[in-house]
Amino acid sequence: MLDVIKVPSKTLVASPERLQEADQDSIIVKQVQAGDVAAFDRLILKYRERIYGVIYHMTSNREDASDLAQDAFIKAFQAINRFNGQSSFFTWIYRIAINSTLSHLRKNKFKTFLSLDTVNSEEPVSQELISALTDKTGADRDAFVHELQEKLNEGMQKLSIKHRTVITLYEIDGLSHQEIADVMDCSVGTVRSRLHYAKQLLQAEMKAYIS
Amino acid sequence: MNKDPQKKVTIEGLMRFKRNEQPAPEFWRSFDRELRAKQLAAIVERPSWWTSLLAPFAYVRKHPALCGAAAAVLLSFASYHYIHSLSNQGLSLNSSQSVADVAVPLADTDEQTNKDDTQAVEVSRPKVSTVAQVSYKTSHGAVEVQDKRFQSSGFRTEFSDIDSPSARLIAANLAAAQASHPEMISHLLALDSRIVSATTADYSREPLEHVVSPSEERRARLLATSLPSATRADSRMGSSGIERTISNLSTDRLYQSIHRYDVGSDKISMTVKF
Repeated sequence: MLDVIKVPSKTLVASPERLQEADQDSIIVKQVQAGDVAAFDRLILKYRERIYGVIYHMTSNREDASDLAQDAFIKAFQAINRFNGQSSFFTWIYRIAINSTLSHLRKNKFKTFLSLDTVNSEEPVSQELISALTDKTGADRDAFVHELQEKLNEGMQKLSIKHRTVITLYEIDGLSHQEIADVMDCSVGTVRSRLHYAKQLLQAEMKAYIS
Repeated sequence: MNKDPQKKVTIEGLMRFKRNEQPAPEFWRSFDRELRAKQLAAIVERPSWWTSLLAPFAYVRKHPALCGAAAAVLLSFASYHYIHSLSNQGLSLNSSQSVADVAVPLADTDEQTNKDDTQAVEVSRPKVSTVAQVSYKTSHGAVEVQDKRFQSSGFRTEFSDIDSPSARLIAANLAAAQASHPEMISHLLALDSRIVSATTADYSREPLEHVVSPSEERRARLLATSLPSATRADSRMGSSGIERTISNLSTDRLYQSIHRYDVGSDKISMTVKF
C-alpha cells in the first residue's frame, strides 16, 4: 500500500521548507522517469488532499472534485517524461489541476449541483465562528452548520468562474497574488481587482451572517 | 444572525470555515483504488504516437475562432498567390516545349501579329476543315480564343481583359489531348463543326433578333398549322422561321394540307362556303 508521508500545509511560496520539499519531489520524479512507477504513489499521497481540496472548493461537488483530481494525477503521470524541472512538481501538477477544473467548469457552466463534504466543526476556527453566529447546541447546531455551509457554497457558485477561482486560491489555499497571477496567466492587478470584486459579491450573498 | 457582537464575522472567517470541509477517511480509500485503476489503464494504454504530434496545436484548441480566422486569411492569401503565379506563368508552353512541338503554326492566319509579345500555345489541325486556334496574350493579361469555324462564318469570340486560369487550363488540356489522341480530337471537332454549321445563321444575327414576342410566336404557329407555305409571320423572323416550320412539318402533315386545299398536280380547285 502507499507509504504515508506527513505533508505540512504549505502554499506555493518559495520558503526554505518548500524548496526542500521541491528537492525531494525532483528526486522522486527522476525515479518515476527512470521507470519506477511505484514512486509516483508517494507523490500522489503527498499532494492528493491539497489537489482535491482546491478542486472541491471551486466546484462544490465532491464527485466532480474526485474525478478531476484523479485525472490531474493521471495526466501528470502520463506526461512525467516531459517534466523538465523548471518549476516544482507541485506547481506543475497544481496548474494541471486548476486548468482541468477551469475547463470542466466552463463546459458545465449552467449545471451546478452541490455535493458537499462534511464540515469539521471541532476545529477551533469552526467552533469560534459557529459560537459567534448561534448559541444552539446539539442537533440544532449541526443543522445550523449545515445550512451555513450550503449558503456559503451557493454563494460561491453564484460567482463567476474567474472570481471563484481567485477567491479560492487566495482565501482557502493561501496563494499569493503573484502566484495566482502565474497560475491564471493574468496580471497581479487583475488578481487584486477580481479578489476585491469577488469578496464584495460574496459579502452581499452572505450579509445575513456577516456582522 | 450574529449572536455575539464582540466576535466579528467576516468573509475571511467564513472562508476559513469553508476550508474545514473535508472528506471522510474512507473517501480516500476509494479515491486511491480508483486512481490506481486509472493509472494501470494509463500504463496499459500508452498514448498513441500522434498525441505528441497534436501537442503543439493546444493553442488551436484554446482559441479556435482566432485560429480559424487566421487560417482563412492565410488560405485566401495562398490562393491569391497561386492564381497570380499561374497567370504570370501563363502555362508558359512555348515552341520549345512538348505541346508546341506537336503543334503546327497556322501560316495563313492573321493571328500572328501578336507573336512577339505573346507566349502562345497554338493548336492546329490542317487536315480538318475546322481549325481551332487558341492563343494567350499573357503580356497583356488577355486571353483570346479563336476558332476558324466561327471566323469563316463571321463569328468571332474574344475574351478581352480576362485572365482566367481555367481558360488556360482548358486550352492546355486540349493541346495535350490533341497531341496524344489526334484522331479522336479530329473526329470530335468535325462532329462539332457540323453542329456549328447548322446554327451559323443564328450566330450571324444580332442577339435581340432571336427574341420573338409571344403574339408573333403564336401567330407564326397558327399560320404554320393552317398554311405551311405562309408561315412567315414577320419579316424579322427571316428564313429561320420557315426553316423551323419546314423541319417540323412531317410528310403526313404535308399530305393532309395538300388534300385539304385540293392541290393537284395540274390544277388547283378551292371550294368556298358561306
